[in-house]
Amino acid sequence: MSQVTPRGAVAPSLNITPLIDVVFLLIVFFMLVSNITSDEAVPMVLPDLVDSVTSELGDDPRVVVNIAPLPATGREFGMKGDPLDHAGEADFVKVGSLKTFPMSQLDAMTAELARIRAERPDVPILLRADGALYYSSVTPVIDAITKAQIADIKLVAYLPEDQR
Amino acid sequence: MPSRPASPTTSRHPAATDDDTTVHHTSVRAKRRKAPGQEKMELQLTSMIDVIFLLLIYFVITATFMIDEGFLDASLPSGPASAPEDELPKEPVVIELAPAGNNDTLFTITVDNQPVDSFTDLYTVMNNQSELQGGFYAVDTPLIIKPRARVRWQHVVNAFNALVRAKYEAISFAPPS
Repeated sequence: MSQVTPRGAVAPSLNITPLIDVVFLLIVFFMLVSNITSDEAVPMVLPDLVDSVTSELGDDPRVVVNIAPLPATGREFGMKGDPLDHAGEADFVKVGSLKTFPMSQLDAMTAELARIRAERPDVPILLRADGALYYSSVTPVIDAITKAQIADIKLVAYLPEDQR
Repeated sequence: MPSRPASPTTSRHPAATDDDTTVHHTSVRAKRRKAPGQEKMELQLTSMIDVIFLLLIYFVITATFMIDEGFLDASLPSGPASAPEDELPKEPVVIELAPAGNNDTLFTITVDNQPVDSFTDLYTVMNNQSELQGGFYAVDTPLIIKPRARVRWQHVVNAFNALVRAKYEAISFAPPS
């Protein structure tokens, strides 16, 4: 939109409509992305492997069993605490993006996994646990998965450096 | 875009008669719109863009892009029903992981009580023993990873990864000892 001033000079003005369009699209994109990532993935540091042979996850349907570490600090005043600062104990188990089970109610998780397996037998079940958890914190969950008659799970870890 | 009239006096005022007759009934806004020589009504976009950019920066920063994750196929012991009955069960190989001292980063690996230095060595040893490399162990030899309770999950998965890399197929986890 150039305007001719009385003196005949052209006052330049930026056309900002497409800029706003693009910026709005970016905002919507980042809002959606942040929701997706926070839904399914409990924040944690996965095992970092020596000479990893992990395969890529892809976009196939899957059920993720997250073992959330119990934050050691930052839990004062009723706050949730920093999930990346923990002593190695587990806090809760999250199945998929909705169901959360405390470590004391793993029987309920077994029932939920058995239900999922019965409904959709072909959907793989992924075990996603923080690398710094003690093995003794992970075994109750593995036992609970075994009790649901599920023998084929996938362990989640970082991809090798050259595939990230 | 059509160029604007050079000055208010040269422009024909479209609603002059209206203004004269209904001046008491027009709102302030309408009056402003119809006032002669006023700029065309425009949206104040500058402040909106400011806010939108702030939102954009917020979401860009808070969007935690995860490092790409992958998976390892694992099989869990599924009870006594899966044990083969028509052949003798193979002697399992036990890979023990134990913490060494109070430090969580130090630990020992033993394969059938033979110490191994690192996960790379674990891979080398098990790969050389594999029948694929002319060794003694069949690929379906049961391998049992037996970590102590205080071993970090990272080390367990690392041991598992080394065995998967050596192309063994029957790897299981023992309860913590």
